[in-house]
Amino acid sequence: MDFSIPELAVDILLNLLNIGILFVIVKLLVYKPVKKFLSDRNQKIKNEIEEARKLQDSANETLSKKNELIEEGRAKGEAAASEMYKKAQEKSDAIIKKAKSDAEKIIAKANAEADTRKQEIIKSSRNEIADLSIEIAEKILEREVSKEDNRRIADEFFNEV
Amino acid sequence: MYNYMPEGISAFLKKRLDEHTVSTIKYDYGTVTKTGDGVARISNLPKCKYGELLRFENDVYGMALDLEEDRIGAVILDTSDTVYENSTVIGTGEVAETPVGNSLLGRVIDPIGRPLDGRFLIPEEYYPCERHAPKIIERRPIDTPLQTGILAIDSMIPIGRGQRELIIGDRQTGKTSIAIDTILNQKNSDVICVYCCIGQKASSISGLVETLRDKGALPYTVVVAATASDSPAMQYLAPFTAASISEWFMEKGKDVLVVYDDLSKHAVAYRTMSLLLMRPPGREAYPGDIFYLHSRLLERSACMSEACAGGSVTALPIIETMAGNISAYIPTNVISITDGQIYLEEELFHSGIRPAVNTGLSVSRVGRAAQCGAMKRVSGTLRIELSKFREMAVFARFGSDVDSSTAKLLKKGQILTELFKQKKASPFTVFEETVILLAYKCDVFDDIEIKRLNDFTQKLFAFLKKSYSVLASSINQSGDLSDDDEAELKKAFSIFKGSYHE
Amino acid sequence: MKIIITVPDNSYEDFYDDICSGFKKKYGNDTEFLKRTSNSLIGGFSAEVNGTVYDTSVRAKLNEIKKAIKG
Repeated sequence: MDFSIPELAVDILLNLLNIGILFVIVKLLVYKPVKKFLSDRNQKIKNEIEEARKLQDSANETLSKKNELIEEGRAKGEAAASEMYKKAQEKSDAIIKKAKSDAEKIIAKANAEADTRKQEIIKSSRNEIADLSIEIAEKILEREVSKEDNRRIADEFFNEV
Repeated sequence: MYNYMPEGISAFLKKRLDEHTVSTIKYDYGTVTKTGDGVARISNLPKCKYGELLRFENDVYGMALDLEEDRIGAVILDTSDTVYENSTVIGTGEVAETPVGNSLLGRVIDPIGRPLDGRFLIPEEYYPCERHAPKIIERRPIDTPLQTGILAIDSMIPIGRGQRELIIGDRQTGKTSIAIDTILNQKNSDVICVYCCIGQKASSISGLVETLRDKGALPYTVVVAATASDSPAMQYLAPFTAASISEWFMEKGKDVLVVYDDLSKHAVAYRTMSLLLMRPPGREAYPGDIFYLHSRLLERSACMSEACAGGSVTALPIIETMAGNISAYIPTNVISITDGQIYLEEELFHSGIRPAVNTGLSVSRVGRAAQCGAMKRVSGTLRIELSKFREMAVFARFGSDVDSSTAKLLKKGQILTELFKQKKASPFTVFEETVILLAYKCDVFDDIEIKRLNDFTQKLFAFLKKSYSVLASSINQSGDLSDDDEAELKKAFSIFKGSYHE
Repeated sequence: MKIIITVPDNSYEDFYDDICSGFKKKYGNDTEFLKRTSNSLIGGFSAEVNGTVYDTSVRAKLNEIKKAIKG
């Protein structure tokens, strides 16, 4: 076979041109989409990792909030229980105090009434004794007043007037 | 006090017998010629004095009020109808008297001194019901406040010890409540109270006595009661009895508060008596001396000088008006006698402002001399502010736009009106009144909602009583507010306000 | 001048006359007298003169004593 050098050169050139065209075609049709596909996939994975992390954080937060609420609820319950106990104690103290003061009032009233009763008895006894004494005096004097007594009374009166 | 053994009784009687001397018995007598409607006409008692007590048969007493040439007109003090024509009447030579003394404290008595509360009364002394008022030289100017515990009154219409302050208003406007609240507020002071009921229902009087008893006011109060079923003569005598009882305490150097509830019914009872005694009727059928009736009663309230024991009698007469007409006969009479009036309006009462005091028409002629130092400091411009608020409130009602200064005036006026509302039977102490007014002056209430004001003030009192109790008791006792106290209170306000939550 | 004199039932005859002469000395001879008797006076007498009663009877004195000791 006789190849001349110029035909070889043209061959090489044509091959190079082929390679070049192939290179361009591959770059356009294969390299870019594949690169895009890979970068998309990369991004997707990154996003999923990020989301998972966020979910994890949010789950942690919810858990800690829940714990907090439980703690708060327990504390409130204890406080309410002790408050109620204190109120009940105060109320029972107030009831006892009122009962005591009511009892004292009743006793004082009863004493005052007894005092009144005693005074009434004294006064009515005095009146009865006075009435009785005067009646006795009348009965005696009815019989005993004499002529001399009458004259003496009249004389005293006229001397005074 | 009493010896219960029989020896005690007979020794007592023997002592009385020894003290008695037998002398000629001489008395004037007359005969009843005509009787009816509680009035008896008597002939033949030539030496009868005006106002003398006459004894009819069956131990019924009357008072000679009409002395004519040939006959006497007497009003019968009891309501019994056992005075008969041609019966004998004996002149006792004495005028109507009332028991007086410390033994009356806590008791309810009728105008001639008989106890109405079921217990015995052993009086120390007797005073005549009609007495001369203290002379000019025996008096001194009023300088001590009488705390009513009602903010509206103590700040703008202050009452002094020895003053006569009329409480005037329509029916059911809270006149008796103001008087009772004043009595209740004297619990921690040395003031003795005398409450005179004239012509009221027995059920109301009983309710009143129970209120006084429950709130612990009865031990320093005397109640003189002439109910609506008592004769006009008893209703006529009741305020004079109350005046004599208070004069006894005044002459011992004590301060007394006497409430006459009410003088309208007293005037009506006097009119009844005068018409039955055939005295000529004047305006509105009242007798000609109706003014003198009230003026001589109210003149007996005085503030005595140190030489005359330094006591005082403060009078709170109550008059009931019809349809707000304070220019009727009896109200104008009593207004011209007293040293000021507290005017209660029905409209204010029904719109929820209780006590329903109309601060524009109410006045105290004694004024600032009768205020304690703390109140003088904090109540300076209240009346002016309230009157300006009333003027401007008309504009606000029409919804017109107002400038900022007017808006502030309206807001402050609304706050002040709300602060003056007070519950019945809840008097304020001097400290509480000072705190409210100082807080108002320092604009503490300006950003609190009107309907939360009461809650705010109650919590403020609780806070101050807990943390500033020494200051509270010092102001209560001395009645003064120094600059340091004022600064301390202002600091306390800001601390409390910071921590106040609804 | 008219004077009404009340004497006890059982007083002696001249008691009334003695009283009248006593009053005549005071008020003059032309005074008129009216006699009344009463069982309850026990002793002494009672005279109504010009709207005033002078009662010297024992009954009245006893009543006064009763009032005084009863108080």
